[in-house]
Amino acid sequence: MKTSKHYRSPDYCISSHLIFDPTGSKKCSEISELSLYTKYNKEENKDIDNRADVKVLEMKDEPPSKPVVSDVMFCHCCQVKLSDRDEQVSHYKCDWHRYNLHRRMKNLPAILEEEFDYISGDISSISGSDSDDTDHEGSQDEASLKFNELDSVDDEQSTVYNHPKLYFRNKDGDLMSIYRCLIQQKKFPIEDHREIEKKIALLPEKSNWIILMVSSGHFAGAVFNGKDVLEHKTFHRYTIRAKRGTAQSSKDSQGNAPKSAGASLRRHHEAALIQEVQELLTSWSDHIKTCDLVFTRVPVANKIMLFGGKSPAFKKEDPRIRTIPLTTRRPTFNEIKRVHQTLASVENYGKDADLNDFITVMPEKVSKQKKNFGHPGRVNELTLDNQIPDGLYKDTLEMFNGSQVENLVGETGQLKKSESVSRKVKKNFKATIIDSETVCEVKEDDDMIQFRNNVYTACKCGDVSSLKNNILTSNKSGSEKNSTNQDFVVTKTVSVTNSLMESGHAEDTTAIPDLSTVTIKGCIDSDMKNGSSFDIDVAQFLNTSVTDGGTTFLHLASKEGHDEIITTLLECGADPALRDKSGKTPYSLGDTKVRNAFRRFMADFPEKYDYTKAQIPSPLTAEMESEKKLKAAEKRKAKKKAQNEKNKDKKAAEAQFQAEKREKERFLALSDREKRALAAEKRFLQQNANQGTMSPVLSRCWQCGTDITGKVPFEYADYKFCTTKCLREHRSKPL
Amino acid sequence: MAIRAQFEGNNEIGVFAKLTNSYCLVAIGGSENFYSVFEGEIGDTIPVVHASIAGCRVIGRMCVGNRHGLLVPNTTTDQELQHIRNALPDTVKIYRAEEKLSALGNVIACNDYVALVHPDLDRETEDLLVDTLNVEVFRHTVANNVLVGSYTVFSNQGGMVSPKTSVEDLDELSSLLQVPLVAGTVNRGSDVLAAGLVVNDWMAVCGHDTTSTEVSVLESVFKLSDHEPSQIQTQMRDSLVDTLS
Repeated sequence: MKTSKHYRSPDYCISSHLIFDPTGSKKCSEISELSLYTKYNKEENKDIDNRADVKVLEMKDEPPSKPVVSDVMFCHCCQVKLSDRDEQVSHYKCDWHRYNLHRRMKNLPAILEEEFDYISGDISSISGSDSDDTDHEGSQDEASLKFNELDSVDDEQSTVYNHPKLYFRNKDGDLMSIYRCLIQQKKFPIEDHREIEKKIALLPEKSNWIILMVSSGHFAGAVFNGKDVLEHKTFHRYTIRAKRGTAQSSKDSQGNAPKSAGASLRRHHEAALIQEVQELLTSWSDHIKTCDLVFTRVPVANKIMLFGGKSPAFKKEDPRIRTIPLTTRRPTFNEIKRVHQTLASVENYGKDADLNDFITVMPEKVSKQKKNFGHPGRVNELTLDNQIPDGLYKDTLEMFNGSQVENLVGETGQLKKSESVSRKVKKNFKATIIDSETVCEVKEDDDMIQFRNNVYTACKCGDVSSLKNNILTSNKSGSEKNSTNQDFVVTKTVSVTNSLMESGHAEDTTAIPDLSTVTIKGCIDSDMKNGSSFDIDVAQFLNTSVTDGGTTFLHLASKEGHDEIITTLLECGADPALRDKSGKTPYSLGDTKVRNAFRRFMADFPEKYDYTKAQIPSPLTAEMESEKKLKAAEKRKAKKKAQNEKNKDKKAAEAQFQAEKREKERFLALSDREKRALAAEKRFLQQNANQGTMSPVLSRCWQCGTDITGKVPFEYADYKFCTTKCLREHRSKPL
Repeated sequence: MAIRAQFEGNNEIGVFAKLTNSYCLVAIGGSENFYSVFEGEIGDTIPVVHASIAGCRVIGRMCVGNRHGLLVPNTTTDQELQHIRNALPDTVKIYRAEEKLSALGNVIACNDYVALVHPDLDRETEDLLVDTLNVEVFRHTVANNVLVGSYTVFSNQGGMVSPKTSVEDLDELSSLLQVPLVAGTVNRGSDVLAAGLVVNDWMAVCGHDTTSTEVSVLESVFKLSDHEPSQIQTQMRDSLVDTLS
């Protein structure tokens, strides 16, 4: 017989206890669970023993080789007795059984169903709301006890950048950790050790927590006071597109929102979820006011639940709000409890634990800082970060410190290097301007190309502001050329740096003043020619062809259809009369919008260019445009009117046709005798009309007495009527 | 009755054939000897069909089926599927299963009512099994082995499991599958039962190496022996003796 030898041996290498419950009642619960488990097993085994005996007795009677269908309703894998076939069938299909099968494959003992429910964290629950065992943590004890051992200790805490946990040693030398977010917000790290110590000491009193989680249509929230759950609530709404797996709103935001029933359902549900959560939070407003910390796991799209609405539940800059620093599963009440327990626990790793085993983020950190290296404001932060762990432990100091120092040196080295690089750039600049003319020209050619590229891009993309920026700065330089050399150079260099900035080469804005002074100096030394080579006469610059095909900027903009660019270019002196290699003017390349831009400009500046050569036929003034618009409107009106009339005629004809058709049908429905009578009536009428005498009334409506001679009557049971209305009245009249 | 056969000198005939109550699939081999064994025994009652799956001859391990249907792995080509469809009776449903564990024969054991499957089988495949084969599906292991299809063979009459199975597990499985089970071997001690044995409700074919003891065990458990004690002898005996005395 199988004996239960798989006792669970709880792993006490890492012990943890709740902040609010230092007595470690979890241990007790684990032990009690264990005893329960073994007891259960024994019972089961006894059961099997009995049954086996019975069977052996039975077997004696039967011929020995005849196997029979067994009636043992027991799953040895899960160690569970099953009462009937239905239960058996459902058991072998459940996740718990499957989980135990896997454990069995790994030679692990089976777990109890309650444990499995706890482990699985209610993953399979759809509604997200369920109620089961809550207080497995024992009784609420004195909360203030827990840190008294720590308070007196001169523990140095680590602020290893970005690590979610704070590590420290107590006076016994045990390495311990708590979650950093309990103490500080991520954005506002606390550097002072004393302050952190103080805050840790205060933690047990700040036990009013709210935890809120939203994800994919599920919401779960709970208010905790210490270990007690004061309030909790979960919602689920259908918001996620099935199979596709994104929220409806995110699909809608991509444009072309689907109109299906499902989509509108999800849209409605999203709105409803937000409203529900907001209502819930308003009803919790007292708790929210008094709570000490708020932990949230809310996607950006759903932030509106917390911070939006008419009276937002939280302010964005609320110092109590923290994000949950661990991975979470679907928001359920169980999950919230798990998060709460995890956040509220202090982990004790024992004396021998080495901090290096826990901190593995170092390499990542270095790479992150590398990325930021050119940023001068960053330097302080870096060194601070790196210094803090230096003073961390006395016992593990050698090793830890060594690597840290190395790190630090490496980084500062990098920083210095980066600084020197930027300095070199400046020097280069200086050198080129001061030293030789040729080098300078080359340099300026580069700038020229850069400038041209910028203008080209602006024309191509229709970015008017950038074009204006570019041209106007250089224009200014052109206009100021005559006044003083120095001024001009300053503006020029600024424009150069600006263009550099735009292209994303210069990171260091602080370098600009330096640069300008340098260049000023340079220009004083150098002669005028240097300056004037870049002082482009913008008009000349604009009128040079940018490609081999003789295309000017104006051609380009015209082809692309950017009318505002064209106006700007024309204002800056780009000549529309220039033709490209194939003999086309910019005007001929454009569409109506572009052509109008040309004509408008012609109206504003009738003398500026040779418009006949530019093939621009006539100016377009504002009056002309408005007149044209008016004409167009009138035309449209007339057209609409004509259309209306046409429709009316059509409708009338249609109505007549329908009436005729109905009449015809009614006539056909009559019997032959009546048809003949009708024909006779008609003939008689005709005859009378021809003779010019008053026609006699041959038949009248039975209801209202109107003359219906020669008309197809409405009738029932020998009564004849002029209209269906009369017929109805007659019919409903009591006899 | 149980007969012995060989596939081109190989005793693992369960690998090369699939036998159910309404059809029999046989691998395409070099000679027709193997096919003739089946054709001679059951060719007049159910169709015996030459087939390949994904170009392989190991069809017995690739597919799973019973009286109601047949599941083939997703590696099966369209031509093969069409051929099998044409050859099998119209009442037999045939589906391709999109299952990661593509050797369906190794991970699923079934008769016409229940199926025992690998614990990691997809939920979709489970549903497909229910729809196609009309079976109730149970996830379990046999002798701590997940390849239930390889280590178990059972028909509607009875079943055989790997000899490493403990007595408790045997009882549990028997009550689960609702068929009498024994632990046994084929092919002179091979515990890979499904490879050495194909069985339906009225016949079994086992590898050439199978000893007569093994044959007698499987004949008794699968209720194939012609000299099976009749009901008069087994169930009615007591009452008859009572009345006659």
